[in-house]
Amino acid sequence: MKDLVVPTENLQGFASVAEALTTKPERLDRMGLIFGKWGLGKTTALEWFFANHPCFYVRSMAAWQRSANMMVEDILAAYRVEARGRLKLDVRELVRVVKKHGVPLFIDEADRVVRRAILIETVRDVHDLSRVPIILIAQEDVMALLGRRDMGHILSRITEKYEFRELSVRDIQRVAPALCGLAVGEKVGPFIRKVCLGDFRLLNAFLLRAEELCSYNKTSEITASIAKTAAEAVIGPAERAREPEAERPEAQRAALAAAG
Amino acid sequence: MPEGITQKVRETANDLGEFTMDHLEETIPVKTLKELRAARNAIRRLIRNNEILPAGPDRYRYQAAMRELSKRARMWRAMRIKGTFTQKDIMRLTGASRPHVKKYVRYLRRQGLVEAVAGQDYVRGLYRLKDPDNAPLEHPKVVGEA
Repeated sequence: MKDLVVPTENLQGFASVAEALTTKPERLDRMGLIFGKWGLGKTTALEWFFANHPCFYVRSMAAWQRSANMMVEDILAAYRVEARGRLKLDVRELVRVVKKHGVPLFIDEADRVVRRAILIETVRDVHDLSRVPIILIAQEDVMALLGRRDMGHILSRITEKYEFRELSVRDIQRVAPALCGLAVGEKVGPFIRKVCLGDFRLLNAFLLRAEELCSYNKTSEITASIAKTAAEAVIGPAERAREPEAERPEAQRAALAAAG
Repeated sequence: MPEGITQKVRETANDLGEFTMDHLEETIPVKTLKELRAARNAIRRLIRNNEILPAGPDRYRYQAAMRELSKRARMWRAMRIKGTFTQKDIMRLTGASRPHVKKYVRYLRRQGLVEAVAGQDYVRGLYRLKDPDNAPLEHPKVVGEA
């Protein structure tokens, strides 16, 4: 199996948010939001984007919630600028340095930032004064936080957003040929999606087994019978013995039952 | 250094907001005639790449665009964001070839920027940046090749 980052719909959505914000005129608001459940590849997408495009990245820390100083110091450190230790001066310096570089700033785990008014207001100040795109990456519940009445002015500045979703059948049909050179038919695609629950890690386990089986059968397409056998790798025979049937996710059980 | 002067032009244009070409040329911090010529070439390049756009009669504005990074810059950025990495991770994130990653990691180890944590080979060899907080933003250029 090849080791590649495959451009799934999520990855394309991520890149399109950043690109749209970068190319928007400066006079418009350029805050972005990327959110979704854990395990859907937000961090991998961020790593890929950071490695291949000019941008800055900072990961928010739980300790930021105690004071804005730490957040400002950490963002300055990402730009390799030493903080002076006085919030007023540091915020001014941050605005200057962000404006100087003029490339997007990503804030990962931004739920923590949104939860504290002083932090999100400081981020808003930096955005308004530097006119540089700032993209927040957060868990799915961030929309509930931003939907509050007192967050209206922040939400109105978020002009691009993208929600990470589980892998689609099209994604699976794109990933399998790219990683293993195996075609996935229209009938088998939905089965694989159900078995893997749209999760990339489970799909990897599935494809590893499917690749072995396809090579053994000298075929370049994942057929229904190969998919059914490879699905065992996803659920794990050893795990099945330990876990009662009732605890297995509903979608997986239904897919296996349908496959006989 | 074409990249250096292009960056200067970008920064100046970004600071000015809207500008005329004369104003931009006067404001770019250049000292010699040679640098001014390089700056004019850079302006032409940025217009071609749609980074400098028309904004009215004789007026222009700067529009940041997604720039292409070199393979080494990508590898360096991948190492910075990963902190601890295998050569395979860097190849996966950047699309660089295996010998290219191997050669660059070896160079960075010799420069004292990267150290081995465990293992040595392509898949299991684990490396990390020696001083991630102070790692330079720009990728270290390979002396004699860059």
